[in-house]
Amino acid sequence: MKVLIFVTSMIVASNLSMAQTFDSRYVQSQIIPYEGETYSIVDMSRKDNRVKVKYFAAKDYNGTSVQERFASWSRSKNIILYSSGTYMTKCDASIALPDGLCIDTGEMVNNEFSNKFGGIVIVQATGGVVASSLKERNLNIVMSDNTSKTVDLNNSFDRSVFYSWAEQMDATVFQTHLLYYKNQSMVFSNSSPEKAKRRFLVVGKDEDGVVHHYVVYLYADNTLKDATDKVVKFIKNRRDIEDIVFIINLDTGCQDVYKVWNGKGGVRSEVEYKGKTPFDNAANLLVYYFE
Amino acid sequence: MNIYKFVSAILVFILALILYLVVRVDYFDGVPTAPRNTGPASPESIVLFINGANDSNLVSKFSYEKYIQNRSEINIASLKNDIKVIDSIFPLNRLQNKRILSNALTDSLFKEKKNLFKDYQPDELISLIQWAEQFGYYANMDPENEILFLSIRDFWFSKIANGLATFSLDESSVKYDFKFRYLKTRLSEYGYHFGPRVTSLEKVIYNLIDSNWSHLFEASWNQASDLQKALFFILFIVTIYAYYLLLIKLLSFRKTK
Repeated sequence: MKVLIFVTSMIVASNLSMAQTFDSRYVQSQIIPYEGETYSIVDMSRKDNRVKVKYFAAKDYNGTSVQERFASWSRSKNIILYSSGTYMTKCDASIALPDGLCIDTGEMVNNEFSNKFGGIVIVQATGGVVASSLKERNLNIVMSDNTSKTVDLNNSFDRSVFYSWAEQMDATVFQTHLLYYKNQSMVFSNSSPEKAKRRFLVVGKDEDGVVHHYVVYLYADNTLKDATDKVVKFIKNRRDIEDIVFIINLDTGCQDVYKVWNGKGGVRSEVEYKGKTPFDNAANLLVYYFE
Repeated sequence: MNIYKFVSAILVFILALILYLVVRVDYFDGVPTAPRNTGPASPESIVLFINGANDSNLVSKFSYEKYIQNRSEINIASLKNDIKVIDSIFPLNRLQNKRILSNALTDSLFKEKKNLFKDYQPDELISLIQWAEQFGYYANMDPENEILFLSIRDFWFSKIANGLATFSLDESSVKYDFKFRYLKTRLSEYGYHFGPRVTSLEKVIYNLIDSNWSHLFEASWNQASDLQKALFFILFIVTIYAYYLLLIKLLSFRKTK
């Protein structure tokens, strides 16, 4: 009898730990209508470093898929959300690779430094994420001896230095479209007229200097330029964020994977919190979790 | 009978079109032979291009273009000699010395070769890959200068990958050419992957093959203009009405039988 109670309580405990709970002081998800559009947002405060980021860029060198890597990594984690990350070279997730330069936990995934993408994103092993504009040519990295170095990734010699740094620091790096950077739009007015649902990662600072990460899903079809302008206006007016550090695009094309938990053990079931692509077809994953 | 002839003519036309699209792809598989390693070259000493620079201004004062123009053939023997000479002049800044040579064999050399990337010239690009990949082998054999050699290979491989992606943007059908696919595969061997442009028609075909019906419908619907949506609606109604008439005819035919 005692053994039965023990085993049952272990099963219940393990289910609770898989229930994905997190503090609403740090994470809030809402659907907000604003100026004729509907925005689903997940607002995550980086205060106290409770909210962290993990990026699974591709299958690893052993051929372990992104899904398997996520499953084994997430067993002891409180997941807030996962979303598709950057673009892929093909629509078939089983053979697709990330488009543009990509390093996953220090391992090179794609060497190709693409001239299509103006942004470079670094997901740190500590759970933070930073983005930089390649046009600025001044990416700051901290070496293993704590010295600081500035590299221009447009220069192949500097890229080689950067690759060594990424390998030493187990960094995860990917290229993507940088839509907004240091409070300036990076999208040209003559950019693609194609309309689609848009999902962005917005990083900004509130008036107290606390960094917030927002995953914003603009559910109606918009061009990239219109969506960027609308999201900027929405974040500034409805979230009182004046300092937007960067906005990057998350893939909603071939691999539109998106899932959000409600922090009480359940999943947000609204269509604005779900992607069209099943999780099994994800080729990469941007994951937010709570510690 | 006339309707059957008409339908047959349409089918023959479609088959002929498919055959034309298939055969117009360039299947020719003759690729340039890889260059042979020649003996040591004897160009001018690298000292001539330093221009009296010192440690602090070497990067900006070095004569990259003249250095490249002076070296009609860049091979490992001349390069290693250059490294040895410049390291003897600036022994405290070996990393910077490597940067000089890297800049020369990447950005400066690119100015000489940029015409290769204006139009699709697969043979030239294959020769360039064959030249650039040697630097990977040099890196394996010379770890001290690995960063220099790998930066040179990385520059050219990325340039070729970006170039091919651009060519496929200009002319989508080029990605089916044998030499394009050969170049893409060669780059993939070294971990340089890119996605050639896919046209809307090709996306439809791929989604049909993968049975992505919901994505197919949604993407088509999102990209369609109001006029296209209206035409689609009319066509849909006409098709349903045609099937309705066919059903009525079939039922009345059965009754009379």
